[in-house]
Amino acid sequence: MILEAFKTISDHELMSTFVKEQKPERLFCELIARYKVKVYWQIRRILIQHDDADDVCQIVFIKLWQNAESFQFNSALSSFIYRIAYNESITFLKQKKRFQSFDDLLDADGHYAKSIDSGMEMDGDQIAAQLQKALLTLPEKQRLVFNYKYFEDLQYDEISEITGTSVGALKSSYHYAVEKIKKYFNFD
Amino acid sequence: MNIEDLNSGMKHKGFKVPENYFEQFDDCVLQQLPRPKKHGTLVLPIMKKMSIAAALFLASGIAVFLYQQNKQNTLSIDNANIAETEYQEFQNNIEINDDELTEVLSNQFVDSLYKAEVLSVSKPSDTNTDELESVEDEYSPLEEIEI
Repeated sequence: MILEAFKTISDHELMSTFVKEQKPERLFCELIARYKVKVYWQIRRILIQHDDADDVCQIVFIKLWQNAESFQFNSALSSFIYRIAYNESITFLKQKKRFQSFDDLLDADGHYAKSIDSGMEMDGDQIAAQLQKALLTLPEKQRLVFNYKYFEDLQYDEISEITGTSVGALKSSYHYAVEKIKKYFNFD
Repeated sequence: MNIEDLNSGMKHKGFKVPENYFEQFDDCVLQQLPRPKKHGTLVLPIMKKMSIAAALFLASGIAVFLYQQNKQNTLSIDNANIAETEYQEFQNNIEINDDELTEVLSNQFVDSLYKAEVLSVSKPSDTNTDELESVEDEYSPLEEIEI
């Protein structure tokens, strides 16, 4: 399905051809191939559970198909797709009423911590499981920034574009997040 | 545990993902995409297509039914008209009074008697003419009048 020729062109060229040629399936498959793993992991770290992440990840690519025409070529395609993923994840959490605002804890009732302990979502790697449990003790904004910065290696201006938060606020959130994680593991 | 453990290439470790999840992901998304609209064609959902087809079928059925009903009514009226006209003509042609009717009927009666007589006469030839005469005498209407 994926033609080799499309693998070498840039994101902008791919997106431009995709829209011009009225969204052919072969180009959409190339878009999925480029971003499905990154998008999935961003969502999975926000939503913790695979089934939820799977649902939202599919929605993200369907929305990408539907809103391809609205992509502005003055920003990176990755930011455009990650912003859809971020918005859909937050919408999903609000629908599940897991939190009302970014100051809330996602896991106030210990629901996700239990699923991590049960081994349903984690593969038994103790360090990874403990880190996820530590992240669940952070307010939602700090947890999100930590995920983007630590796991995805994104720059502050890109995180700012995705989340709509200022770079200064992001830096502050990340700083608090790191301090709390250190405290959690007694790294002082 | 120390902070180096957290930084030691564990970024994609930890969470479980079903086997072949990413391989099958593309098909899951493609199946859910809205059907691409070809230029100049109207893509309708299947239920809409079915309801339109049902409406057309119903409308054509009603049209055929009404047409046939109309045709039958016209035919029966025509037949009735013809029958009435024929009857009127028949009635107009019949101008007969009671005397004529009696005559016709009596003629028919006489004819039937004559036929009966002829048939009886033409019976086997061994019949005696004298016997015939005697029989006629016995049943003479003149005698009845005399009584």
